[in-house]
Amino acid sequence: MQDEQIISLYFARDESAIKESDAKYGRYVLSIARNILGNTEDAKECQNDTWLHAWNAMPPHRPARLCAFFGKLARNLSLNRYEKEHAAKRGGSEIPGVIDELAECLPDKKADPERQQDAAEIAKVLNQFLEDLDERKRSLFVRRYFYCSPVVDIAHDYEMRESAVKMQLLRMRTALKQALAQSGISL
Amino acid sequence: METTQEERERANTLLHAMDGIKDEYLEDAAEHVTPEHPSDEKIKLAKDIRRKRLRRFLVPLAAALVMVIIAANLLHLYRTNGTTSQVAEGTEAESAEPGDTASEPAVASAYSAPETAETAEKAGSIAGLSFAVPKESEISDLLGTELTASYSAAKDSFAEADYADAEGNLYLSIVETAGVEEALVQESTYVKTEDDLIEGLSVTFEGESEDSISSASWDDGTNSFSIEVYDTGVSLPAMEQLVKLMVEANS
Repeated sequence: MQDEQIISLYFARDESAIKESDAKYGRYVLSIARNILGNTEDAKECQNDTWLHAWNAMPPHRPARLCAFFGKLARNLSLNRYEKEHAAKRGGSEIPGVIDELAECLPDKKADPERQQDAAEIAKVLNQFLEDLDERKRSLFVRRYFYCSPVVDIAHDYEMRESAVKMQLLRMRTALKQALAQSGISL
Repeated sequence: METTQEERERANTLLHAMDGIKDEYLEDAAEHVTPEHPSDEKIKLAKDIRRKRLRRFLVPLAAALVMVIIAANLLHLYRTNGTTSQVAEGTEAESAEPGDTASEPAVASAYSAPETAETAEKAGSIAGLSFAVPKESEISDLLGTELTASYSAAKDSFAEADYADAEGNLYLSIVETAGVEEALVQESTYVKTEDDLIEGLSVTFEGESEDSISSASWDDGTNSFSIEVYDTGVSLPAMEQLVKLMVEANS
């Protein structure tokens, strides 16, 4: 089913919208949640929450890209859940590794201590940084730091050695650190 | 270096800011996002096979095909123009090469999947190479990290030693490949070639900087060697030392 048709079902308050969403994007959403939460049981709950939040959001919201809309919903719900349950220290999540890697991107905080940035400002720098990358590198970055995919899966999908993926990510983190610093972002 | 709590919190801010990435970029990368990915070493190994097969099988095969086409064209020219000794000589000279490369598909078809080996020597035996690597303790002492080696090889193709740290994370790999091949370009920001590191040996180092070298590659005129250090790499002197240890082990 086309995305527009699925969105129309939400707007018509037709419950088959959820069934169709699950049929088309269920695996995608589950994968994001599982990367972040590290176990399938919790991920499935987040998957269901994603459809519920989508049901509540549409209408009035009409996403331009349904895939990205579901992806962001699933990611946010999973991150929130992860943070709540972090004390339980469940294994298998990619988040600790991703956090450690992103810590390497942090610009020197002393660069501009007075400055506070909002998420939109950081996102603007991020998008400019991503725009300057070629499509393949951009996808590698997004796969790791938005979708929180394991490096071994990325290597599998892009037919690269794991070491090559790690190396590319390292270079992009270094470049992102410079981009953030040049833009006066201190985080 | 350990990530501090404050750094984690700031990194977490960055992680959440990723939510603002443009939808089109998310869609471009979403193609493969499914939960069925087998995240295990076997898949990594399988991909290594494919990559190495491309390098070792398709390149010689393409070269052989080019030679066949050249020979066919020359033969056609010979038949079209009648016979002149000049063309005939050219045909003879060129046709010898396809004959030489005729054995290459046979070599390629003999390519087999990599298999694990108990020792470097056994890996070398599988690969048809005299593969020797420095002792684990030598590398561990040099890098200041306790490392454990595992070995794999593909018949008549390559032998590899992978070194993992105490937590099982892959730290570095040493690979010997049959034949001399052009080094892979890694788009490194730092590239340095030392033409006389050890007795005329030309070694190319790549990485982010002199303090972060991730690979070294060279050949001995018969086979190719490479050392890859993952994550942040090592310093140039440390990588030079690794190369020297490897060369000594094989001398």
